[in-house]
Amino acid sequence: MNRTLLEIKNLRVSYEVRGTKAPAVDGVDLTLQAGDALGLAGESGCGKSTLALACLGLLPRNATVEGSVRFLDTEVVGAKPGRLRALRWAGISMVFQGAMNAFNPVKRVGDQVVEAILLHQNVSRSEARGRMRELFEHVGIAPRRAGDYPHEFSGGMRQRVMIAMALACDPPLVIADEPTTALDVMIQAQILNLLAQLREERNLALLVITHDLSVLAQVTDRVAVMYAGRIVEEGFAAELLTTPRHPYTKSLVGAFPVVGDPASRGVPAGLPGDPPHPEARPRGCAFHPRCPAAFEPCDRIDPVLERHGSRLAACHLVAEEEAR
Amino acid sequence: MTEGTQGHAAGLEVRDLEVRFASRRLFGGSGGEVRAVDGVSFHVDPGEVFCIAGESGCGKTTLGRALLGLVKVHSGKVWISGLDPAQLSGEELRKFRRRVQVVFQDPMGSLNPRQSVYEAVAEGVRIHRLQGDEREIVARALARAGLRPPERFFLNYPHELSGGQRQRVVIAAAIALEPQVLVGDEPVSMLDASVRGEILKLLVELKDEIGMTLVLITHDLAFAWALADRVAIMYLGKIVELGPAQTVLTEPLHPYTQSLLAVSPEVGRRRTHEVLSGEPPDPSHIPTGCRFHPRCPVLRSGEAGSQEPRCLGEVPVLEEPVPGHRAACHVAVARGDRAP
Repeated sequence: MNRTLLEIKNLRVSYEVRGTKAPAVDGVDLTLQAGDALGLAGESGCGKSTLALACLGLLPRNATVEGSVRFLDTEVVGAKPGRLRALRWAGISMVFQGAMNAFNPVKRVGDQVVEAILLHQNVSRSEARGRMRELFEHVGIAPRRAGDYPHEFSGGMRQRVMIAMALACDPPLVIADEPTTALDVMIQAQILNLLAQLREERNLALLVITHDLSVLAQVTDRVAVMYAGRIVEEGFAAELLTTPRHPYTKSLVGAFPVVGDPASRGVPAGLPGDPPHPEARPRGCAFHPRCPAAFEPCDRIDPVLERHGSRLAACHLVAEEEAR
Repeated sequence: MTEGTQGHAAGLEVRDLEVRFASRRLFGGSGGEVRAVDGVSFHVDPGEVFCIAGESGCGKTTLGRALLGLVKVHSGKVWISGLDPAQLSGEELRKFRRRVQVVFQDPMGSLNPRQSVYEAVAEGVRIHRLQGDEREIVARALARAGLRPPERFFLNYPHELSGGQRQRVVIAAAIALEPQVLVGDEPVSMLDASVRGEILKLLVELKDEIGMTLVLITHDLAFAWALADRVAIMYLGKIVELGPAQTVLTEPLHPYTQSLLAVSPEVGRRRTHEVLSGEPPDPSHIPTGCRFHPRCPVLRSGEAGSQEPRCLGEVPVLEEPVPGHRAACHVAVARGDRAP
């Protein structure tokens, strides 16, 4: 099953802010095969959500898109609205953060799912109802709860319904943007288990976007770390999260204390400063003003993403370590 | 983490605290009473970092609000440096509030969007009629909270700041009053992972600098591990386990703490443990006996043995099966008694 689902090539997305163009995504390449689970990590403002919206052609009007996003045989960049509508739900669907806001509060939950199915599939109402019940069961909700209103559902249940809706047209790819961020630990664990299980059962590909690296350890095989609109490190999840190479990834990983590890007792290491604004990208490596390991070339030369074994990294330090 | 004497910091004591809410159904009709906090006792030493942890609905936030005198206490007592907020009113309550400050989860919810950073910090200074130059007090608080140079932020509005900076403004407003106790209710859970460490570091530095006692309310056991001297684990309004962070989080006695730890996410490790099924507990339907029994893996696996009838019918109290480490679990206590 090595069919390429999604191929992003040299993607650039800029927003027009007060007359100047600010690049939010600045030359990203990514490939996703059928059944792959890729995590996209980074701080707020690094461009990860913009990248996801670009995959669905959902960017606001003030955005300029260059490069290519290919989903199977569809080029998403510059596609006509009709083509994009066919792609969404049936090709790629999305699970957003904060499922509470995605529902109409005065309509029964089941009916909302049925309507979504009717909108995107050529089936009768009773067939759609049957499909909804099937989906509810699949995500672990008793079908009898379909008659309830959104306020009668807990946050975790609503997130399950969101996932059920995303699966309504059997898409080969689901993009999950911070799927568990507002949820409790126990519920978070349940939702992550569910995503992993659906991936197995349906050969579903996942693109999980989050700032929480511990989520990625649970559900993804590969992780790409973004900083200031670019991928700075990419590799297998198990390797990248235990032996990060890029100083930015290192500080992200270091921000998570590990229960039981004496080294994590005491204040977790944070990362001083804020990520740069897109319109004020620092010279050289964009991370150098915050980098604890910055040295001579970092403020002059912009590092490129290079392959070192199974790992990709855009960092002069990593390149030097490899050269030694 | 509690080195050095804290002349300024105040201890606090909570005894048999109960907070109840009338639960009402949508469109009228009464649904009885919800016991959000149901008989909680503990103390916190001056200068200590004390963590209250548990899932949503366990009562940890209500407990925090009771410490601040923000909810009506049904019974029991709270003392902070010898004062019970429930007994205070008017001028005395105002004085008490200066001593006990709070930082909530969402800085956007704590800040007035139409108020500048200067005004946000100065408001408390004015209400509490602090001695000294207002501008100086505000500047000092902002600088202490890591917003330097402070003057640069005076005229900023919340929407112009990053999430981390906003939370720093909230912290500055709290510490401008030099409180003796700072309650943090999930103070970093809405922030980016990279910013969390910075804000927690700030809280702990300020604790030592100003001399405060820190009560942190969180669902995140990893942060409890990083910061807390002692930890209380809450379940459905009761403390089920209480002791030093080192032992509670590495050798948990209560099956609930064990389950929480098992699902506690960890970077670089894929979880292999079982996840508790079902919804978070509902405080309007408290089970009989041990309130954790319907979800208890120990009970389900039959390991409870002869204790099983007690689990179903008898409410366990906090006992001390290991010196300094308390748990409210029939099975854990019976095991502890058998240990040499």
